[in-house]
Amino acid sequence: MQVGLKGGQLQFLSKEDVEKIHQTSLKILEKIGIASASKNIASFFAEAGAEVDQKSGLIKIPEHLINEALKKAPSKVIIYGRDEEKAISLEDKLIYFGLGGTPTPYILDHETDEWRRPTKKDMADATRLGDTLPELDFIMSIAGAFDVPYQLEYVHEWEALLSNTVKPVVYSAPGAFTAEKVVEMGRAIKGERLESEPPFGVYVELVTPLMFHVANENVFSLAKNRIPIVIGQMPQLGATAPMTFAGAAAVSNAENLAVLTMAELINPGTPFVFGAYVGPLDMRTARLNYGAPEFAMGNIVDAGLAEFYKLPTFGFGGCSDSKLPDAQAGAEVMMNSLMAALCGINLIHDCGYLAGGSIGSMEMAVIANEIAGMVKRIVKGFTVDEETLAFDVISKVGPGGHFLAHPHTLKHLPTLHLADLFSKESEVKWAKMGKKGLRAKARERVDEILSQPAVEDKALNEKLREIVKKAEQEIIGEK
Amino acid sequence: MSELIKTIREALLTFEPEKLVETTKKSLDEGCDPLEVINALTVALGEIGNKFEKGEFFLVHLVMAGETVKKVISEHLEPLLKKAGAERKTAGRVVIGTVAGDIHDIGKSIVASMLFSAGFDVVDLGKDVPVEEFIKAVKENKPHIVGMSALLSTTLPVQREVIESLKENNLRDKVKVIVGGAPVTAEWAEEIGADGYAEDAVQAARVAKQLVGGKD
Repeated sequence: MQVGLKGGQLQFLSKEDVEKIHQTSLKILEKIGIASASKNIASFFAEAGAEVDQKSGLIKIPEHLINEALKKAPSKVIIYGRDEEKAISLEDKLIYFGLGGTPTPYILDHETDEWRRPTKKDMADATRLGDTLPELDFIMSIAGAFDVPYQLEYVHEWEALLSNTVKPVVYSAPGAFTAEKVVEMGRAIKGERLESEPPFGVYVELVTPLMFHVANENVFSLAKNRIPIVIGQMPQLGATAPMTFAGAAAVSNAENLAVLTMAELINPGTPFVFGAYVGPLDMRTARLNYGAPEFAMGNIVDAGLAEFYKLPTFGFGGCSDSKLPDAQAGAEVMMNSLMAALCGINLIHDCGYLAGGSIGSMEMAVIANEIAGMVKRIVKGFTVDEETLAFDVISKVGPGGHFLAHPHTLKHLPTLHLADLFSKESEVKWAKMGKKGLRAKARERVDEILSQPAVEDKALNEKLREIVKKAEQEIIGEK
Repeated sequence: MSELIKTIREALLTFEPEKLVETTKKSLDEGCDPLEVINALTVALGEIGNKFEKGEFFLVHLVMAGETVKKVISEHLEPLLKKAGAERKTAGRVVIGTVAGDIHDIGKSIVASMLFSAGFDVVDLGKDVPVEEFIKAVKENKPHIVGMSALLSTTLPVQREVIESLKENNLRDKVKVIVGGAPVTAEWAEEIGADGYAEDAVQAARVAKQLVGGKD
């Protein structure tokens, strides 16, 4: 098991602020309600005692249902991955970084430097890259499988993910059918321990503002099998939510509470990872800006509310609006990664996203990995005690001396962060080494990692392939 | 600039819907021709569109002005035109909607607003629109353009289904088809045989205008 570093050193919201947002969310759910395009979800809430208009699908959730659900959701969630040593414990502001997010329509081909539609092979390669990068603790995606039958896109993507990494995975499985296939894959990995040692979490998202989609019917089988449900609501300021942070936070929070209530009613104790995010729509381009300061600030909302509810969190970092792994990308990635960590977000995802999530980039993932390392160093901080104040050492070295030869220095050397790809050598040496920029070095690292033979669990891969094949027969029929 | 255009423009630029309604009513009371009022509104809206493209105005101005003007035309001016048996001149008619299985609305609504601001008559079918609904709307409204949005990669193929169904109903050569949504690419648009693709809402209106080039 990996125990993450403790972030959360910055506190932006007061208890009173959070309480006000919470109260507004309760009022939204009780008075305005949440619309459901899914009859099953509407009926489920009706049976549970919510006020449901079966015709329009509008669900009004009373406060007591929400409060009961909040009591049942655990404050600590462990996602195990295939290798238990890589398991991550989501609790108490421990931070973990993750590769990518949901599928991206394009991948920046690191060999040709062109962006193009990604394939299942890209998905597998990206996963292997993430599996190798040391600062990335869980895996989502910076590609997507667009060369498979679309009805089975997610099933294929899950296969590509689970056969190429032993780290914990978080990914989408929209709809009841896909969720069932993914649960089967979980059983192939964990057998009877699936419920006690979930190898992955499943990302669930309502359509904002305030709408359940048929895709959300996956919550039924996920909750039944105690697969951690990971939420990433992102109302857009001024577009799908009020222009003001507080109002958008109340909407985002209400959407979270609706899913949480549903999951805990289905199966009390279902692991739930809270994600009440807020994002800025660019009012000049009508695109969502992942590199904007307000985007980084979404982590404030998420962390503040989750602390109030004592729930683990899913937030955003490692992403940029730039189209290239360039200076803009570096600045934006550092800003949102550091913000997420200092807010104490457990799952910091989207490392390697460019163009506001439209382009996935392996080179950028390598750079984001290095930035994650720097961020982790910062949240580690430093200790102040007799040993670290080192009065005796200062006394021994004395004025005008140096500390390089003192054993105390050697002993505490490991606290220093070591850059990997970032240039720290002298300009003369740098020139002698070919004057390589960061991007060139990142590209070499990608090649180096992908040229390694894949570590395969052949028996498992066979089982996963079988599940995909069966799903294909069920959906498309025999060829 | 005519006095009417000036007055209407000033009212629209306050971004207060009531002001525009008030000014419109006043102009009509003073004897202005409803068609001229519509023309004035279109000119003013076009100006906001241009300022948006230059970065002087934002999406919120464009959408707000667009929705206000749309309301004023449909509630206060079109009834008068109908009575007089007149018809307003547009850049063309567009039927637009988010395809079946997808309830993501905002992207499509922004594009609808842009198209309206660019002078199109827009019939918005809303979200989760079944293939048959698109066909029915094309038969009823006889649009120049059909626009389809999809945000989920799993609902993207419905755009192809609509195009196929247009062919089966012998409607394909009567309309131009534009597609959009986050997972849509130029290659996808070409693959399914759409006529136009725009990478964002801003470009959508331009593509639509190009497609109806000869029609107005």
